[in-house]
Amino acid sequence: MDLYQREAARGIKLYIKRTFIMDDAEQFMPMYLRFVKGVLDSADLPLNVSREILQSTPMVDSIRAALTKRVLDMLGKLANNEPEKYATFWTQFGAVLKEGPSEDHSNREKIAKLFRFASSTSEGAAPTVSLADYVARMKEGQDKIYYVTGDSHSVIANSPYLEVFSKHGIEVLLMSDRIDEWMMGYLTEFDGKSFQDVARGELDLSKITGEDSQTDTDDTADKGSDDAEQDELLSRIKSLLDSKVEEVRSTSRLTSSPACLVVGDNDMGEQMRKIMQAAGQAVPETKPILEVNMQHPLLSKLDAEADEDAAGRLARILFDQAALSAGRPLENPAEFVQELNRLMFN
Amino acid sequence: MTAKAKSGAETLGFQTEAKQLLHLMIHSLYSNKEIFLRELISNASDATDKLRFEALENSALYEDDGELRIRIAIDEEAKTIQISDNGIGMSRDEVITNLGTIAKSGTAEFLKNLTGDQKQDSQLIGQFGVGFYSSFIVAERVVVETRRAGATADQGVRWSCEGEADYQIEVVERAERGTSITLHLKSEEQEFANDWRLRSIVKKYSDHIAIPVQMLKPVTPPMPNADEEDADKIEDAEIVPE
Repeated sequence: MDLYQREAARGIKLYIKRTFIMDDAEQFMPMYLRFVKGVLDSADLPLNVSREILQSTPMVDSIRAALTKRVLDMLGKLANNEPEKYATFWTQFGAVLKEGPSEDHSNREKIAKLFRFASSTSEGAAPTVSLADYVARMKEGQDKIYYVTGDSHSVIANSPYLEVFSKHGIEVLLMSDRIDEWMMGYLTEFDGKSFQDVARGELDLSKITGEDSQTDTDDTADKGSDDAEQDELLSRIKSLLDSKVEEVRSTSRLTSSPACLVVGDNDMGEQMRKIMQAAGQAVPETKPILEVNMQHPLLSKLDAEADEDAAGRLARILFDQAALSAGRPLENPAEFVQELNRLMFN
Repeated sequence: MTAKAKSGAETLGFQTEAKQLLHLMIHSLYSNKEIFLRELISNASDATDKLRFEALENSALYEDDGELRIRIAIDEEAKTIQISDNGIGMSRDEVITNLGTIAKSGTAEFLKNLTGDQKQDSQLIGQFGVGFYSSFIVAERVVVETRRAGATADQGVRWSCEGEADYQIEVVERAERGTSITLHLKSEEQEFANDWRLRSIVKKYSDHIAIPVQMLKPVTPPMPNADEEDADKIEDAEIVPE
């Protein structure tokens, strides 16, 4: 059975009083449980005289609700009692189950409990961490569930977005299924905790780390002039990159990388953009926000560069690097290579 | 000018165009031809179930043959299919009421006389009183031979019909209890006189009914050492409940 073909036969065969009525009775099982195979026998459903179709009735809805609940409960039990078996199930059908939150609002919390993800603190790419595990391990003061989405485990496991999290030992869920970003659009909270994409919007970890994340150096006297210098550099980079970025700002995300790209709170994420494009949909033009690590030597070098052409090249490389490490495609890869080569000969 | 009623309003019963109704049942109700077998097997299953019920009070009805089953036999030469059960059977009067009245469900009638608990127990399938006529989708002539459980062998009944306005009925000698339905297939529907085809239909629709469905080995072509009485049970078709 091909799970991703909408027209393919679904699981449930309907019998009424032990006599076969129809195949793939889709009214009895939601789409996101289409891997369930089974036989449904009922004496109570009203039949059309030809016995080939059902007369519509509210009973169908209640049977569907009951079946859905049963399947979810059964999966929950399997997950608790036989985690190895559940892991096999999850690798086969997890991506289908992830369609659940968008389709079935009333069971969202229950479905979310069944989810398993890889995490920045667990070994390997295997999805083993449940949301409940994550919540139980949350740091004091942490009120959000942090996650990052991307093309593959290796891209996101080494992503610069994780730098500050690993510095403070905060766990981040690594989501590398194609469906993940789309799904997270529907899964807004779990156990009262909201979700936060670490590559999106402003990031404020001060409640967890206990320090003011924006300016943790220098004393207050110097701060004014520092800020002014910093602002000057940021607006210089912005003018150098001009059309490519929405905003350039100093980051609290990075420790060792010079820069990263961040998506605005309400903008479409990178994964979603790729899926939409692949499906032939028009994608709105949005510009990313470039966040730069003011402590990085590359930034000092850029600051010190008097030649506007050279500074422009540096800024473009900075931008392209940030895009590459986030797994984004480059607008002009050939130009990036040329500029990088030029830098190497300098 | 307004119309005035000259006398009190009359109440009239609806008339039925029986021939036309039968035509509708046969040609305009089902989207699949093959369901005729499902309908006949469902009827046979109900017949055995009814016997099971009545025999609770009168075990003599079993006539020393308590093993309820449905048999399907194909005659490829004569292009006939025969579905037989050893269920309750029908008397002449019952044949006339049940087969001679469209939309008369013997099962619905039977269920009325059961208590709530018995209804829960029963696995009776029928409810509309029209399934039998689906035989005429594939058959040009249908012959029903039946004898009610408990009646003597000379009280057998033969009913035959060509799917038109009238039918023939006569009393015949019939040793075995229950009902046999013989379908003389239309020339364009002879694909159904095929063992494999029927097996797959039975498996598709009637895999989970309460009693076994047995396929008799085809009469022709004669196999060496073929024993006609050797009923070959369809696998999985004998899921016994309870």
